[in-house]
Amino acid sequence: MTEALLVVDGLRHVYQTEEGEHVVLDGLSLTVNRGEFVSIVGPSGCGKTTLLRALSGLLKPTSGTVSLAGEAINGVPKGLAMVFQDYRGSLFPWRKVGANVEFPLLGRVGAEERRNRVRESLEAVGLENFAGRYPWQLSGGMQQRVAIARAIAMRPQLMLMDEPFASVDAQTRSDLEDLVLRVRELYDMTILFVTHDVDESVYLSDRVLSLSKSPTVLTADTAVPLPVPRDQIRSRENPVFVSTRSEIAQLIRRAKPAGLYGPGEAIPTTSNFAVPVLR
Amino acid sequence: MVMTVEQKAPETSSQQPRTGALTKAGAGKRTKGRTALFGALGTLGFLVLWEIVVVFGLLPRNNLPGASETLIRSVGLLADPVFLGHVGSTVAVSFLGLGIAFVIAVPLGLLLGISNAAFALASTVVELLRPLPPIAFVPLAVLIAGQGTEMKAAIVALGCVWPLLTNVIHGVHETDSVAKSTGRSFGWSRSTVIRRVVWPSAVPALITGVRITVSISLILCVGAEYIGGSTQGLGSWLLQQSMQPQGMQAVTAGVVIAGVLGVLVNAIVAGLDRRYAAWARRGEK
Ligand SMILES: Nc1ncnc2c1ncn2[C@@H]1O[C@H](COP(=O)(O)OP(=O)(O)OP(=O)(O)O)[C@@H](O)[C@H]1O
Ligand SMILES: [Mg+2]
Repeated sequence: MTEALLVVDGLRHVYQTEEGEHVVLDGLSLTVNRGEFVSIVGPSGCGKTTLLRALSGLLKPTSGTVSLAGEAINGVPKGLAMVFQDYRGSLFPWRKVGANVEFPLLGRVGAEERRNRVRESLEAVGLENFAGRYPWQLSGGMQQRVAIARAIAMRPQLMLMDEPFASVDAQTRSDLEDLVLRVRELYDMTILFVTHDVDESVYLSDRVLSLSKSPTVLTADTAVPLPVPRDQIRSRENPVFVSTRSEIAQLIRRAKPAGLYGPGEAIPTTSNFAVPVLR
Repeated sequence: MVMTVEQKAPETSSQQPRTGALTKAGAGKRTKGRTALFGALGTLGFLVLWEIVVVFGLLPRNNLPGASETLIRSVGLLADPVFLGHVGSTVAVSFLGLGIAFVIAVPLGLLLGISNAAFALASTVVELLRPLPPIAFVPLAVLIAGQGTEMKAAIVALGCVWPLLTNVIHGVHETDSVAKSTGRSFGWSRSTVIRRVVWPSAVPALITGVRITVSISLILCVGAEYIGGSTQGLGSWLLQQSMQPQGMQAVTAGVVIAGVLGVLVNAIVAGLDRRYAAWARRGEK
């Protein structure tokens, strides 16, 4: 039953900077099965965005292979949709909401089918009455819903989401989380979700992958045996949620370059300033 | 007179794009109405001042016709086929020159905006050529192209090509990098991303360029007519009138009409801006 949809093998990426080579990803291997919801958590700057850009073919990794449904990725593959963190930049301000959702389908899908998909996708995110507005006339949460509707309209096999809810308020955030779960159910989608929020990753996922600091490696692959459907209040009270989230929070806290600090090791504070001596 | 009227125009129209589709009904309309009212009052005040200066002979050599006299003469000119022919010639040649500049600047601007190598190659040359005053080329242009349409259109094009070019390049550079990544994530080729993302992102800057250059094109065309000894156009007409006895009245009336023409052309371009660039003037709400 478990069929691997996305297979990443030995992915390595090195940025060339003025200070020299900067190894960001140092040999990542992971698999996402069809129908799975997998989250990636890791410290800021560890290369999560770099990883998603490599998976979506926007960035050519230094070495390693990525394959989608058995085919090696070289350039942007078909059957993949990306939801960017920066929805403002990702929606085209000169096109209305409906036209934004329709945009990736131009020249690929007939006009009739395009109309249907736009209506259906906007309905799925509850924005069917806003097709005629411009994106910048909507709130941040609504704009991110438009971006999700556009990804749905592409009917992707795999949806990549890069910290999609990082810049919305807490209430909107939990609404959007439930929206994503509903959409996934509705369209039987496979989702790879990047976040820096441990609670969010546990609430949404079947599996959480944690990363070290750069040069980045995979430090753990944690299953989330939390019953479905999830519920914002009951799921978060479930002992499984509580124990899984603290397990992953520990992993994040112990993240060091290329690995983890051992259980007994002292974890250095992030501050570089000496503690002032009191007299 | 020309300057007063023309300088008011951008002020009036910059109010309009700011009123996004949602706020059009409310405060936006009121400020627009106020701007129009203040503009009218200002113009009226200027005309009254002008009339007073002339009636009381406050200028050292008193041969400036009064405001009322000039306005009456202006209305008369609007029914004068010879005068209208000259105005038509100026407008046509200005637009021809502007069109030539447009056809050169848009593809070149896209290329220089997209390709860093092309930009590096061309930018020094552009920076050297840009500050040269186009009017200084009139004698040269007369030698090469004569005194007619070709010469005038060339001068206009020369003056308009730089502002258009720099605006297009600026527009291309302003394209959001996430927007480009989004286009690529749809599986679009480089040329599709340019056509569907980069070009629409650059259109508002291009329209700004057009707004700047329509005024420049009329000014340069009239200038080239004066200096290049042209027989056609508003500039030539003004020059002829100024040499006649009592010509001052006609000249002043002609200048007033040139000013009104500038305002009209500006209003048309402001309309284009509202239609095609409203999204870029939305401001941060
Ligand atoms: N184009 C680039 N050139 C050079 N270095 C880069 C480039 N893009 C990113 N980096 C560096 O690579 C590292 C990883 O960046 P990335 O954006 O992938 O991190 P991230 O995990 O997504 O961080 P965050 O959680 O803050 O979004 C950072 O140290 C960053 O400075
Ligand atoms: Mg990131």
